[in-house]
Amino acid sequence: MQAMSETKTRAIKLVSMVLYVLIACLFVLPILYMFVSSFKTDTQIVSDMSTIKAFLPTGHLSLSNYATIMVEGQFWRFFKNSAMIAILNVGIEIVVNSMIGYALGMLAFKGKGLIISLVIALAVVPTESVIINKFIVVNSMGLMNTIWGLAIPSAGYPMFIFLFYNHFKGMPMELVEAAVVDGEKYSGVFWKIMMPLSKPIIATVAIMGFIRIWGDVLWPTLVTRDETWRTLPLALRALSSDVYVFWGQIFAFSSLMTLPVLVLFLLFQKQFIQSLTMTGIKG
Amino acid sequence: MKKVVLLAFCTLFALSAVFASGSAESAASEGPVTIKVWVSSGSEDAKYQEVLDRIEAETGIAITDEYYPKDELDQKLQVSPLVGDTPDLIIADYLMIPSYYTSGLIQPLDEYMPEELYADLIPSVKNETNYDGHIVSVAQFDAGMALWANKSMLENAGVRIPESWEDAWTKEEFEDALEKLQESGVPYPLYIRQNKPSSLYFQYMPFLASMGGSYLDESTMLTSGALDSEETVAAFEYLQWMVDQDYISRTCDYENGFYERKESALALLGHWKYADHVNFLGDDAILVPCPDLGGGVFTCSGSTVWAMTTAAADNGKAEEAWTILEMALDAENILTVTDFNGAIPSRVSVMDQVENLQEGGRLYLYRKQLEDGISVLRPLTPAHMTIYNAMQSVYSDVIGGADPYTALHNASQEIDEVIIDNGWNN
Repeated sequence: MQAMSETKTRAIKLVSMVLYVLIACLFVLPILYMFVSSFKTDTQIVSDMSTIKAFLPTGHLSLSNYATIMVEGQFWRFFKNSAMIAILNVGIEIVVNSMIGYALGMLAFKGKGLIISLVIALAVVPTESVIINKFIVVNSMGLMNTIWGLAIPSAGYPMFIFLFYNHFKGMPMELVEAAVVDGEKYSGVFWKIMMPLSKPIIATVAIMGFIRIWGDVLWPTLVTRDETWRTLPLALRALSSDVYVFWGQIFAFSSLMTLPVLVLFLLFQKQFIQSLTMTGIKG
Repeated sequence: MKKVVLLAFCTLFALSAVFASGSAESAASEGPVTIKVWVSSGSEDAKYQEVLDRIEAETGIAITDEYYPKDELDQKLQVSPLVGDTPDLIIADYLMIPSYYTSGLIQPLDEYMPEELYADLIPSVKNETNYDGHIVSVAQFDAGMALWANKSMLENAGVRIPESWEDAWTKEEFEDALEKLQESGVPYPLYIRQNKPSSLYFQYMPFLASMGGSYLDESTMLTSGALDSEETVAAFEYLQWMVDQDYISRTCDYENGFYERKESALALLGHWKYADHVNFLGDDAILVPCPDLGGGVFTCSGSTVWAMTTAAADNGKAEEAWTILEMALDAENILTVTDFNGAIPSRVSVMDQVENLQEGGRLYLYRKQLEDGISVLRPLTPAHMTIYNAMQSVYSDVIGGADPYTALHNASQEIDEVIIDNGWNN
């Protein structure tokens, strides 16, 4: 009887393992396909497209796609633009959203409940539905085609405010009280005590914010003019048109564009997962 | 705490004032007229820069030209009136113009166009630059569309080579040619660029029209009754039949299948492949007309056009904007572009200067087809992007084996819903 039960447990484990591997494949294979294809010629990519060869390094492999996007496609120029915009945006995002989250989570003031409700309500409003209003405001402030126009408008984000609010709400008030008794101001409590204790949530917001702005197409499309602040997604889009599609360059471009996100995730993986566990975000 | 809040407000106010004064200052500055041109980016970008630089030098009108991919240009244009940022001129696909015209972005050109210049334009160009009874744009060139053929392969298979559209293959002859080519060892006789089904929305039109099919019923401006008509369905069944017979490769391939790998003897591609085909195949690269599948012989046309916006007129720059459009139609400026992309000049007088377009020339068929008025256009409607997006799925699905009627009927219903919702059929 026990032997049968053990066999059943092993079978369940085996089936689970197979399922996990299959699910993992769903996520890993597209990335593998992208990296492998970036070394192939256009002809090879398209001929391999409907077969298993698409995931294998078949045919003549070279770095020519990478060379082309760097020399002709000015990849590094657009990379620098995207990186500067993302760093500025994430920096402002962390400061602004954490301050609001701190105020809502730890300070007592009139109308707090209403503001929290409004923040939660705003979280369900799609970004696209208010994008025209933002566009008009940015234009009236003279921020079109500037790094500020690209980085500032999306910095205040209801979901991040809610994450910080949830995080600070769980912090012991005694910490604040003790610091205030010791003569520390509220701003000092925030910067010197609360922020150092918020590394996991900061890492989460940084990664999620970075991914959000790194791949954003619509906002840069509206706000940029000429190539001064042209971002990577816009440059990537230029690699295909009605007449031509440069598959190899598209995959090489996408591979290089994906690397910073992967590196960022690997660097902050521990804090990211810790934060997700703490805040209960899944999926 | 109050001081901090007050300080923050003051800082914000000061910042706003600085930004606002900056924009007001730039708006108030006066100087020579500057015409802003937005260009739908493509392989001709450098040539457009050359043309615009030449016009700027000759007229003294300052021109700022910006190049954006088609979708990006479209999105930017749609929101540009909100912030007073609309360019004075746009250079874009002619199919985008009806949508911009309907949105009030396009300035009709009837009052500016000289009769002599208009009379020199070929019929297909007049068709594609007219909308709602007005001239809405000008074009430097038109597309040339026929079948590129490998002369040696046709001769080797014993296939008759038509000289003009008037002696195009009949349906039976065309099918016989495909069979003979296959028997002579050509793996897939016809190449149709199946790796980019969206391009078939244009390229397959001569076949579609020859079978009596169409994308849009122009009497109702809806697709119902046209896209899912018996004739259109038959044209798509024919496409699927050619795939089933292995006359067309079912799997994807890239464009060198015809000219480099020589897997095909015929290619349903237009003028834009001239350089590749001639460089690789030399004298073997010839043009033959699309077959007569029962309803006559057709080609299809359409090109990139230059249009003036209502912003140019509103800002008092219409005269300068028209000067640029008119100069774009000078022979030198047309040839700068067409010598590069192999397209057909929009003016008869300019065509006369191109050796390839004279009788006996390699591209003469393109000219004859356009001058004889056998070209068809994709529907000129604000719903272009909706139809275009739906049709790329239909072509892809049909090549992949989907039932043509179901694919076309479903697409028709989806497209019509959008057209009716937007009132584009009124």
